[in-house]
Amino acid sequence: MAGDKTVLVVGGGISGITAAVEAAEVGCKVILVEKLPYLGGRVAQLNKYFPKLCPPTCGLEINYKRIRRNPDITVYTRAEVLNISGTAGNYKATVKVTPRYVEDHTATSKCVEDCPVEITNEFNYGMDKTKAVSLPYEMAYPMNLVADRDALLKAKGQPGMAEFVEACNAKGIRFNLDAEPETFDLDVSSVVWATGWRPYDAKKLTKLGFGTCANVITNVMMERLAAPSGPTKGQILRPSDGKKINSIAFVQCAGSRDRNHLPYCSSICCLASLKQATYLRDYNPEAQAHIFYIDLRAYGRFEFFYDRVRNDDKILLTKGKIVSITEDPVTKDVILEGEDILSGQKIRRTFDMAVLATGMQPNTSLEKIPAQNVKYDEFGFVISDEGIHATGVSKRPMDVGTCLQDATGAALRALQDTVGR
Amino acid sequence: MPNVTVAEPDLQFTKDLIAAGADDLKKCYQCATCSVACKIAPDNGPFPRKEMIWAQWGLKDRLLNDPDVWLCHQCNDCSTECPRGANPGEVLKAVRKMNIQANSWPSFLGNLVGTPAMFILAAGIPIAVVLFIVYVSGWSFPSGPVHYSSHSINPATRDGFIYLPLLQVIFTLALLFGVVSLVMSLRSYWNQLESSNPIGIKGPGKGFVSSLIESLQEILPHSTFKECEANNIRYAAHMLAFWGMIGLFVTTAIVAFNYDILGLKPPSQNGPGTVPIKILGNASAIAFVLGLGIMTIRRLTNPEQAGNSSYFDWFFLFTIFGAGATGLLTELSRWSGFIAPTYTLYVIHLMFVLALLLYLPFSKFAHLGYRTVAIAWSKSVGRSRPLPVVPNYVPPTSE
Amino acid sequence: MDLKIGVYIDTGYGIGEALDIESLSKVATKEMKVPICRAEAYWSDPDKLEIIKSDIANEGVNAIIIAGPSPRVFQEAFRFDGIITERINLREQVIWSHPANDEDTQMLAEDYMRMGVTKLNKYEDRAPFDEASEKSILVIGGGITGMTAALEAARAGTQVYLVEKEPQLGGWAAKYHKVFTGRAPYDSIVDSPVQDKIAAVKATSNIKVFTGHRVYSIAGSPGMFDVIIREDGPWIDRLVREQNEWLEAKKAKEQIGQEDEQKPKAAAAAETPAEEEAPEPTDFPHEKVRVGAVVLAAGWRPEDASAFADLGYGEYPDVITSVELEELAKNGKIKRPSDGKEVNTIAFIDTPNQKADHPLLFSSSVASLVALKQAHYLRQTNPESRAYIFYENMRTPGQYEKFYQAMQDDPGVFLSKGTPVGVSNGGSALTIELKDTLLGEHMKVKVDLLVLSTGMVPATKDSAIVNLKYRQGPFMPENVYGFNDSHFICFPYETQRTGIYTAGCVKNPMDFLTCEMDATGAALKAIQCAELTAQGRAVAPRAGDESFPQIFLQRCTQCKRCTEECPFGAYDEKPDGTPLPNPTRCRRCAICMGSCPERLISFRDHSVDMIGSMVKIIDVPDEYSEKPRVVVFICENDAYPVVDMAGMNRLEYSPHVRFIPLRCLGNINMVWIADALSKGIDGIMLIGCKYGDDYQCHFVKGSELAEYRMSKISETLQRLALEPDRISVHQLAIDEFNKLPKIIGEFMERLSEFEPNPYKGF
Repeated sequence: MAGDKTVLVVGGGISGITAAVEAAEVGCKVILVEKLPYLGGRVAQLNKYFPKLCPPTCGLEINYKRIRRNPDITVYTRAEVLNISGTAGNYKATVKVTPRYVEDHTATSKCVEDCPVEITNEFNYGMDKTKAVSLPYEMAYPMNLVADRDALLKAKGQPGMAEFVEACNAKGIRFNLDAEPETFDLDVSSVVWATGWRPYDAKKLTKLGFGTCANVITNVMMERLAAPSGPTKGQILRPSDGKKINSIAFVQCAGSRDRNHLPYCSSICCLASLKQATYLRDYNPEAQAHIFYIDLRAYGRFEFFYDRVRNDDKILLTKGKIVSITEDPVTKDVILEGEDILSGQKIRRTFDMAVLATGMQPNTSLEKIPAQNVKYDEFGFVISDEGIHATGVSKRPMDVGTCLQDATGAALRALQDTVGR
Repeated sequence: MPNVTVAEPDLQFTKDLIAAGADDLKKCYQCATCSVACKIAPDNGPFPRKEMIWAQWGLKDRLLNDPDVWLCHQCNDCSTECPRGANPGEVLKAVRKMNIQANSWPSFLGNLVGTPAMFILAAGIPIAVVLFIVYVSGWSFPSGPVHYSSHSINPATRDGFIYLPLLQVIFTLALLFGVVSLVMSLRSYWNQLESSNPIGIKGPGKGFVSSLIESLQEILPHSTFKECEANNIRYAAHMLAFWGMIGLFVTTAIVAFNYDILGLKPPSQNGPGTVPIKILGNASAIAFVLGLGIMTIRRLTNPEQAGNSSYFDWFFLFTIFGAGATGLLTELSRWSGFIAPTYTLYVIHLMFVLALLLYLPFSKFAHLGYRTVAIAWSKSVGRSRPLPVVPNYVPPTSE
Repeated sequence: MDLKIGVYIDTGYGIGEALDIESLSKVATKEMKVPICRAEAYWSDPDKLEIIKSDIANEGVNAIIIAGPSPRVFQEAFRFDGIITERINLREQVIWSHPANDEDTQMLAEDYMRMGVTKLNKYEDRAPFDEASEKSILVIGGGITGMTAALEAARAGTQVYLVEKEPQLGGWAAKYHKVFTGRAPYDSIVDSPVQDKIAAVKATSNIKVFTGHRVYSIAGSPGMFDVIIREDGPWIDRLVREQNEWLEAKKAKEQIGQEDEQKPKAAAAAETPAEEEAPEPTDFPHEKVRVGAVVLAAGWRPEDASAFADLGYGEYPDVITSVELEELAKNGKIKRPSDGKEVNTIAFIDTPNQKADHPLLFSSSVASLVALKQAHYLRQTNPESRAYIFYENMRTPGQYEKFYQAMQDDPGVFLSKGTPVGVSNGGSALTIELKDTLLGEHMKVKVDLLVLSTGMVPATKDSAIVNLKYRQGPFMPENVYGFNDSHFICFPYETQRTGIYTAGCVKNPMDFLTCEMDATGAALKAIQCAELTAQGRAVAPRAGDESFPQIFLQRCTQCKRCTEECPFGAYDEKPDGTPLPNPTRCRRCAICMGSCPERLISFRDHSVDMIGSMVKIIDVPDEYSEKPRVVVFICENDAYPVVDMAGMNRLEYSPHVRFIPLRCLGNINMVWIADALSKGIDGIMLIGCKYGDDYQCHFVKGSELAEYRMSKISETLQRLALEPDRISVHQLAIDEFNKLPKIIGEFMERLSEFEPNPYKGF
């Protein structure tokens, strides 16, 4: 019914993917543009969703299947939208696609495991290394390798390199480091913007010891630490010495609800910490988790989950913000300071590890949409209702379920543009 | 059954606090960042988080009997770190002002000093009194070298500017009045603390004397002051002013004693400042003025850290700084051999000093009393035992 | 149609080096009689695709088998119009998880070749079911959510029927004194925007509004729902009563158990609720409309406030709910119900009910926001007034934090954490006692009026609303929380009644903004369902699937399993007790296919015979060869990728297992087990999704049904005199690929304790 008119979806996270497949399944032609070499965005890096504690890859796989079987969806990865002009029903978008610098017939990291060059693994938030050519993660869509051009160029002539490249050719994996990025224009009748969020930079929380204390990590890192595909293959061990963790502290509102950082509430951190507490409890039944909060925010049906977790006698909840985290130079234990508000006592306690519940910062607050007449609120969330349809965390801090309701709605807004209101 | 609070919020009180400079107190959402940011808050029942909720709820009685507001040295660490911008520092400051006024005896003087509208009156009293003394003394600058005090009221036998006995009587009375009413105020304050004990902590009580001594041991070297992170310059400044003032007091006392009681001729007033007593005096004066100078400048240039300055602050600073400055100027002017200016400055100096003595218990000056009492009381009920760092959890050793 | 099959073996990826391609080709050509079989490296390359295209053009190939990488890649490349494509996974499932140039690995590959060709041979050509083509949609509920759904759908050109039980549109939004919109600048309360929306609805030509009406019944299926809309009246009470009786009977039946023999009368009655429906639709004035899909936006009602008895509700007139306060606030100054005295002090309790065991008492999405809002009702009309708000946790998510700050910034609004202990009447005022407050362990406040925030109970708790004429009853199935969606994080619009989508507070307590977002999404899903249905295609998760179940009724024994077990109520019942399929309700999970003991249900590309033949074609070496054979039925949604990932990580496991993917593990038919065992297969594994309250099964109860069926297999095994432990069922989440080799290893270990299956060679 949408005729040949096309919808451009920017951002290949769960919101963008949903907007894309829903629009395509109602008959729109869809072009999905993602900056990274793979779809899935932030949720691909999560271990489990609250409150069901199910793996995000499960839903992603179904959606990839929907994309694969649908000829109306075109996916560009490593692509960015440089500019958008025009109005609803008639946009022109300029897209730049960066090459993967390697051609393969769908391969896996195992196929290139003897690559001599290593780089930091951004997918695991820098907690481990990966090869300069690799598949971003097991379930990556598309299932193609991507090469770190600069790293490989630097390693040219390095011992083992030539042999490696040779071996790759034999496997039908060919490097092409001279490939040029290409830029082209698209005529589309609707644009959905779903560039999502990034975790707030924990280094800015100077008193909370991130970067200075070995055993202070952020909640997104905790997801990787617990994930079977993560740096520790799902074992929750502490960074400094790989010791099994017996006591963990969750520091809520690390940056959120703070005029010096993110003045708004990120909505999901409380539930995320409750969830992550269960990760540790499942992994190590001996262990205790302690959550320090200002207000424990579990809303709607999530309150059942809150209640379930709260009834675990090895998960403690204390009202009182943690203000400073330091490190015991010898044991590397973290020392937390705060006030237990209900008892009116200061807290000064050590834990094996502390997790900062850092909030969600909309990417639109740092990289504005390259188009006219887009309105933002003081925090950088998109508030304009007409024109480009922002969806997901570009609009509000939201949990995944709500994002997907919104993304599905965005698909309808797109459909409206294509049929012409 | 734990003690039950019957909350009857005093809306007006909250509004008064806001008017007194705590504009942002409603912004607080009780995260307790402040209580931990504060380096000098005791571990049991730390401030100012609880003061913030009391202030929001207009719990007048609790706040006015809360010694913790005096434990605060106004370094504003709390305000800088507050995620909501609620400025706890300002709240405590406002409460301290109300403390002084609420306990001031006689109470009307509290208002006189505290209300901007009454400035003329407040300033007028010491001015009038000093002018009266000058009038009685003959209303003219004597000729010859500068000689402040005369022993005769008779123009013929007049040997100085001011008729000393009169000056002595009035200033001594003023001092006595100041001291007595301060003591009265502090007594009522101490009794309130004893009766209400809003912190609800009753530790192993120390005696008043021992805790007072302990407090002084910590006040004199400003050891608590040092712990403030946000602005340690204030520590230096306050130290200078504090010891400068003590120095000046001692000097005055000694001189008065030698001259008035023993009748010894003071070391030639016109002579160089080489005599020990003079060195002490001048050194103290310089320290005093320097310290106060720094504080004044910070208030003007750096409200971020110094906090908003209210009339109450300025009144005190004006009086005490005035006293110090005019004193020093008189000295300098005399050395430079000016006659008229010296006497004029001396008169102004006397006015400031008198104001200081009179308003001691009603102006911010009283903080030296209240803070000492509050610290002593807190010690007497066993506050501020630092809790040790404890492991949150040690799992049962399995296998 | 008769197929001409072309097999294309990919020798790339090291397959050529690891396997004896020649003998593999022979299996295809000689043994399986495939006319064309070619081996090349990387068939996905454009030049290789040309070869396939020319075979299609010149050799008349109309069905191709790509034997190479997993079907999870290159689906796009191997898509040819009108050509059936089958994939054999030689890469992930064979050479990546088994040693190269090994006898067993070769046998594995050859078995997969046999199974692949067999599968294709059993393909039946059938046209999709495209007889249901109605595209208009029905929206139930005229509140913010319903109106938004209607408007947004209409803007996309869809004809909408909007049914509202009350005499006017607006729902709750029209009853509120003031609202918070959740829109920038987030810091104020405003008049409800609902009037504009009502005007917009009325002004939209392709929305037909029925106010003062209810849905009497919905029959049919997506693309052809027949909806009877009837004026509101006492009839609804009777209908509700009948529905509740039916529900009771159903529960009673479930308590007694599935055994059909000992069904109680009530249950027997429950079988056919439709007959109890009276009077006939034609006996009363009504509107009958045909729609393609439905948006259920019936909203909520306040929870029964008797839940607050312990806080004095009902006992003291001045204890009211937040909903009741809206009414009071509308008349300017707020007066006490008890004596009409103007209210000077008011208290709000944000979380009056801590009973987590009662799902529907929660109002936590909005309770704090409402309390903050309502505090200002009083403050704005009475400057000297005081408003206390007691919360467990102040819940103002997202940008609402700014709303919190703005509402809090008023000397007359007093907030504290606090858990209510009790309320007493001190004559002139109420005294509320709370514990764990910020002002001390226990505190008391005196107030003129106490407001308790109300939980939001979905309308579907009181009656079916949709009043379905379905064999499985008039209700939408409930999830563990008591709401009508399928409880998927990734697919919030999934329900167990295809083509009916819930939105707004009937789904979850939510604020205006979320209601509007949700409504827009639901409208899209409804339009989409009608679209796909008209094209004869399935909706997600098998979106686009053109196959649908057909039943060979002649041999049906009226066992009713298919009608009972379908998670989506796709089957109604004919008077003779045989199933009446509704193809457009079907989600193509094929659970019915597994449920049928007579193997009567089949899809064009998936049938009992097809899988059975695949099992039978497996080459079973004799008992002396020490080569056991195990068939592993796996869910194609989650377990299949798990197997792939094991391969991608080069995890090795026994080469004696043969994987057979199913649309859902609930698709498993006992017949296959019998077939396999009687043919000498030594063991059978089933690997499906996790089940239970937080099931991960994409068809809700498939994996659970499989478990249930296997628990009933024992007599089959006894008949064959085989050990029950030859069968095992496993739950595996999609990310648990590390566990696969262990599970298989342990099972092979277990088998090794038994003699080889004696039926080998029969």
